[in-house]
Amino acid sequence: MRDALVKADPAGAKDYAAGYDRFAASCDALDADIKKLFADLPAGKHVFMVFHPAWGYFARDYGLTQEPIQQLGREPGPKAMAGLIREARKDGVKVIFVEPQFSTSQAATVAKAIGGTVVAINPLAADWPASPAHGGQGLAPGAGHQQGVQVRQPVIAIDGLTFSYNGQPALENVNLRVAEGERLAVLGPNGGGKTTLLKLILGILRPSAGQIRVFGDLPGRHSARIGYVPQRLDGMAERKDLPITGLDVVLMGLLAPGRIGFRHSRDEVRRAEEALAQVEMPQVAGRRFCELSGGQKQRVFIARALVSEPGLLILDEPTANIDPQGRFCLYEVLSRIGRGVTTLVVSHDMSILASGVTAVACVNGRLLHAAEPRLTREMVELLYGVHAPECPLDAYLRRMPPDIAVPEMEA
Amino acid sequence: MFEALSLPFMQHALLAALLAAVCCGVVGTLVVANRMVFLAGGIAHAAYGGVGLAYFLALPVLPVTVAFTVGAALVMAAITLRRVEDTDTVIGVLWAAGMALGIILLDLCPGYTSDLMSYLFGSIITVPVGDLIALAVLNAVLVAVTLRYYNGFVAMAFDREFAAVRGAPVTMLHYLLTALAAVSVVLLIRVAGLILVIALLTVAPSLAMRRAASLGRAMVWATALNVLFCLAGLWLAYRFDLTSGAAIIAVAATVFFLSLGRGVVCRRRGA
Repeated sequence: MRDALVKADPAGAKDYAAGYDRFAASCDALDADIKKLFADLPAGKHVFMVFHPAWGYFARDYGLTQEPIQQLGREPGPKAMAGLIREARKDGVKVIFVEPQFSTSQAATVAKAIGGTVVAINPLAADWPASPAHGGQGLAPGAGHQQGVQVRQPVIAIDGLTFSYNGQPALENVNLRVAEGERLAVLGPNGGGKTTLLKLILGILRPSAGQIRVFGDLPGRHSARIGYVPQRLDGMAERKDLPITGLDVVLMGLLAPGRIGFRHSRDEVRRAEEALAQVEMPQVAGRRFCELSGGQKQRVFIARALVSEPGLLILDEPTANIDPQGRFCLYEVLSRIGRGVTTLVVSHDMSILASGVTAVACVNGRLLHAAEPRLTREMVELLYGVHAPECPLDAYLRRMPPDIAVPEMEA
Repeated sequence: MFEALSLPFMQHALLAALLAAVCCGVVGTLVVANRMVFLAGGIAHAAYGGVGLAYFLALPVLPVTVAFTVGAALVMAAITLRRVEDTDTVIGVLWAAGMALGIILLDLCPGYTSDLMSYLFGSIITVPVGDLIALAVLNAVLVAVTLRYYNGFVAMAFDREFAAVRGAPVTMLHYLLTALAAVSVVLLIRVAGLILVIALLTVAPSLAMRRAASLGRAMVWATALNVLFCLAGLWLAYRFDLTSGAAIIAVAATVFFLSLGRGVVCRRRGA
């Protein structure tokens, strides 16, 4: 498979140079899983969505239809869609491969037209294919039938990412998957590359090597689906002279490309007021933003991120400018509002682990990931370095509470 | 004062003052909110290069100056966007270079000796009708553009990075605002002189922004304040036979410092 791939597309293989082995392994895994899938497949009609850059090669290997697929990958018009459905109806079992960017609603349309089901195959998901929790269920035909489409696509997928500032590497060979609904805390010291990672995910910076996919697409393409809470209460947003009310700031979260005009609709204002109520700040709607306290500002920023009902909520150092008591109130707000929303919260403060996160990643030049909100020994070393036994920090690090860091005997 | 109003030149001056007040109230608020005052100063002075160029090439002054100034402004905007550390220095150099270029070109003009003072302080009481029409058109365009991109401008002023993340065309808006400021400055130089332009662009908006609840209201307040400054300044100029531009600036500056002093006193008392 791997050799065939390189032979078929040397240029494409080069794109994955950084994570080639990982890529090849995922090809092999997909190969095996598709074989198994075909063996178990009951009679019927299915639309397959394959979230893998090499979908075209699989299609060829299995002698599957490829012609209509490519049209489908490029946003088919009504005519192309009709042709596709006609073709799909002719044969008994029809397998259609689609590109990662393909919209799930279009796959669902085809499936509905041929009376079939949509099956999503996503080897790039965090739990593919080794996780027993997966158990091939996501693969089983009909698994997605109840909800129309079940897509196991990670919200964020980072492979072999390297980023350098003026030749100085800030992040090296970072791999990360954030699944839908996951709430990931990203911990790291100042200057460790946390904010750089965020800016890469947001599309503000471009990677030096490797690739990032957000909602299966290049960063920045789906900016309207991301709710972003920036770190700074300093700089521009801290200005005393800018006339703007709390409600105005929240309404800013409804900005979108191409949006023009002066007024907000009544519905938008209502949504903004609801978002303020969610963070328990309805009283600041008419007040000048610059007169609010640090904690109030931070909550208004969270409301601004929530108002667009984001598929991904990103918080950069939400506790940086808040006193300890305000911080824990904020955690309470965070753990309540964030439920069900895929969240990425970046902090240098370990108490963030108490805000209801489900996983943790540590960044300090490189990135380590744990699927539970507890630090591994390796992570503690990445964050604080290794200290000699006579150093007081060594004793401190060994005594870290077990609900924050995995104790030494377990590790 | 009332007999003065029957004189056509005073009517023109009043009309020019009102039009300039609207223009400076709207653009000035955006400029101050985006912290582009220094940039606007640079644009205003670099415009003098355009004036010199027009005289040197013996071309119509207004189109050449607009083209030259917008070009210089976009260069400065590009430098500001890149956020290199010496942005201020580069703009300062462009500021001086534009002005020097204008003076040199005017020196080289055969037989023509320009009066620099008339461009620095303008001459609001000798405004030709053509300029009034141009100003009125500019005002209409300005208000339309501001209404259309208002939310983007507010977001850009408040938090540029967030606005960009939300997909607002921040870069385009930055250039658009700079270009608007450049066109406004050029049209107003003939009316009011570049020093008065900068005063009208900054004083009233910064006073208005301290009290207003939104940027839009600040624009309205800034316009109202500008009208007040201009009317008071014109009356003083008429009553005591002063240079009109300087009288308007004197009124604006007095109000500004009074407000500043009051703010300081209030804060002391509050503490």
